[in-house]
Amino acid sequence: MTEAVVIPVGVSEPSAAPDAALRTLAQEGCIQCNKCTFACPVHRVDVLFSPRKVILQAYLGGGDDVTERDLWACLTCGECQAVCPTQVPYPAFIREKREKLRDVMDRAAPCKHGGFKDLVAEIMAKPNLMQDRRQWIGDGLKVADTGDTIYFTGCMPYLDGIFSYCDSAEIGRAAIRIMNAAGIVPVVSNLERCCGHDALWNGKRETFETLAKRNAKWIVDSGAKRLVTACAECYYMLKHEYPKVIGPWPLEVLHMSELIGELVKDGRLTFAKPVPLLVTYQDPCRLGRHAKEYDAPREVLQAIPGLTFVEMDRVRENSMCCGVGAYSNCDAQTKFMQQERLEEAASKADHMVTACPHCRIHFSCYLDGKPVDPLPPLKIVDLTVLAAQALG
Amino acid sequence: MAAVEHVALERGLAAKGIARDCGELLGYASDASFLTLGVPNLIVFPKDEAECVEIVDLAVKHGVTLVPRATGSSTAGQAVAPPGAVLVDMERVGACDARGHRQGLFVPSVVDASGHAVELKAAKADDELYVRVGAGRTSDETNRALRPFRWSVAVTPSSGYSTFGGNFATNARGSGTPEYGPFGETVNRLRLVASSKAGARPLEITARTEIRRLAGHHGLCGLVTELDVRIAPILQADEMLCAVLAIESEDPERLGATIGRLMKRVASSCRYYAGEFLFVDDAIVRPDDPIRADPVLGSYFAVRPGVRKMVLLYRGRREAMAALPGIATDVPEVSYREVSYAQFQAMMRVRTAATGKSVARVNVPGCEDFLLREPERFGTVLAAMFAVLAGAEGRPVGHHYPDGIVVHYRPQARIDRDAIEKAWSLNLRLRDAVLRPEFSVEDRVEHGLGLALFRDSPPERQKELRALKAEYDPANVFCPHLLDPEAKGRFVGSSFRL
Repeated sequence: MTEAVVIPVGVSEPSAAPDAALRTLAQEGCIQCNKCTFACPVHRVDVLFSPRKVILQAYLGGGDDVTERDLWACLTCGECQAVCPTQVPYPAFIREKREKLRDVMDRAAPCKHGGFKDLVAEIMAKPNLMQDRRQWIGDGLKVADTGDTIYFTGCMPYLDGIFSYCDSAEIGRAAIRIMNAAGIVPVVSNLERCCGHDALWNGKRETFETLAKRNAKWIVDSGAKRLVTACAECYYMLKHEYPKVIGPWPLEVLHMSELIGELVKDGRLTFAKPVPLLVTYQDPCRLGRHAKEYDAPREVLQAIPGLTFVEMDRVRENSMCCGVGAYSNCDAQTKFMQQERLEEAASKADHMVTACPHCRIHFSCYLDGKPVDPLPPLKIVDLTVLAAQALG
Repeated sequence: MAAVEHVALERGLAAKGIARDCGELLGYASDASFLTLGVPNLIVFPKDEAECVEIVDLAVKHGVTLVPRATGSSTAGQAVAPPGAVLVDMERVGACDARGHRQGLFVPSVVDASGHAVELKAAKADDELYVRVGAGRTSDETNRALRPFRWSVAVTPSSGYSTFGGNFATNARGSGTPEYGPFGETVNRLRLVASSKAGARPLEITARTEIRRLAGHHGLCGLVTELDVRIAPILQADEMLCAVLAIESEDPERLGATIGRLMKRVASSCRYYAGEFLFVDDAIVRPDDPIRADPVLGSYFAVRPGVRKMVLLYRGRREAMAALPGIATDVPEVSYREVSYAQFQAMMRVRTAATGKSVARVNVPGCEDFLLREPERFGTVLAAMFAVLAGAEGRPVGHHYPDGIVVHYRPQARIDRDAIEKAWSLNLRLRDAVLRPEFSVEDRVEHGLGLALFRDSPPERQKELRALKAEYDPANVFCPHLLDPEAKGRFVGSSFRL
């Protein structure tokens, strides 16, 4: 235990040359109000984890005082930033810290599924990669080599081998089916690489930037006018992080929910078949708090005939994370978070819809295993898959 | 304090399985005051009253100081640990599930004035009802649980994430105060873990006079663990009156005097639920903010150079505010407009942002909020304030309560040495020009009261506080430094240096 000390402000002032992460915080102005910690889903199950504490410790300690636990326990879900009176970008702070400290702090423990996602990113960052990214598509669906609209599949084609409890390719097939129904034959390219989400959020900026440049090359060269993805993480990265590396896009980046909404509004897509389900909606962190897209998925749900949509109590900016960020930090505490969120969903509906394949995987993983407490029957459904069901 | 006592305390907590941290605690060195830093020897996270009892027992046994802290955590420095103290984080008390995890969603238990359980679905609007909540619960989460029944907490502080225990400790004000009084007035029953010479002393307090006496105790008397808090039916759109009153003038003294007289009449003739005001200048909302284009509200954001514009926002039950339009008509300088609740909320969002919660800026704390009990003096006070604030960042905002006008002002600054020191010196000038000549410590409210209460209060108030503390904390384990004259210079936030 440390000896008690009183430090007048100024004696332990921040270091003269703070690192990038500390500068991010200091410039944004934490006022130590504790709102971040109170909102933090990790703190609710682990009282010792506190963004406020980490900030003050970094501020007073000169920048390198983040513990390994604090570094990797953060979900980067952004609930803290959403409630912060001065909008301190805590997720960005942690991301920068991970970039700086990754090499000296062991990430083997928090890295899940044997580092599968990390490996995928590293492999995809290599030059001269040969992929068959269309093998999952199946018969009856039309895709093209060139065209106005790119369907960016994300890592979905590679997920089914690992996460057997989810048919992730189903999301891709549903997306193509919807586009085909609206007269769009999307480009699905073998040149596509991982979007780099996990690499960036787990501190591997170099890998992310390599991936971003490789993706940008084929996307720009294609001459397409739009890029659509059904993944919240890919959408956030392509729309908001890529331009920081490659400059402004010459094309429009859309989440599938935005495209569906537009097609329905234009009369190019009609939901003819009722889907008589009672559903609620899980805002994915990357689509919601990070990309600020809350309405488009809800508008899709409201357009589906026969569907009853009920909101949970914590929605939009206050929505609760699925418990796993970038395939790190999945532990016993994650399970308690997932139990709490699924209890909330099950109290409102019998289907929880999400617009992110990874939220779907994490919640389905929990339901597939041994829940902490019994849960009422609840199915996790992807928004695109649900919309495709209404096509008839 | 000898480390051996803390080791013994920590071992005792470990034996009882109480969550705690005794590692690197630099991150707990300040509260929202950022005035003074003190690193605690230990931080404890009790989840319920039983654990609070264990903590107080151990503290008395080992002679260790306890400083309770919750979520809002003070802009006045009272939640900072002095040397050798143990912080007690109260945000989980009565808010955890069986596993000790804080549950954001809960089903509140509702009781009547006698403490009997009540079915909220069957309640009538004029029933006197209370929600029985743990001290770690907040008005945000309680209101979320009550909303489906169309009820809410009667007094909701602007920091909806602050805990009820903290609201009681500061006797907070908020929406509903004009009708129900400060938070302490809305508490009907209290559970408190006080001390005795032998250890913890759990108390249940139901006498309203005693509850009022304890309201605003700032952690001096024990750990509050459970409260019965008054709830009120949510006003429906058709029974609600929302009004915007505006006045502008080149002369702040005249503006303040006019509006002060108007407020006095409103307080004597209307029972309103919320009364708020803000000063509008050209930079209060961004040029592209949609509110500027709003056909009704946009006009409030057009301000001529050199002119002060003040906007008053009232909300309440229509029949209880019937006199408001007439009062406004009697004052030709004031424009009056009834707006929808959504429009009222839009204006309130601007009002909230104007308290300094803007991106890339920090409130520089230390300048107390104050209560002006005589509205006719509002002109003099405003003139003095604006004279000091010329050229500064930040805008005064405030509340109109029936017992006076509360003005909040904190300068804003980027976090760099020059900006903060400049803002801090503005605080000092404001104190010298306005607070010291015009107000006493008893006029300081909410955020500023914490340390000012102990540092500057007159001898009779000190005596009263000491009597209260002696009664509830004879072991002197709860924040004894706050009443310790020796602690003044070295701990109580009397200076700010970056």
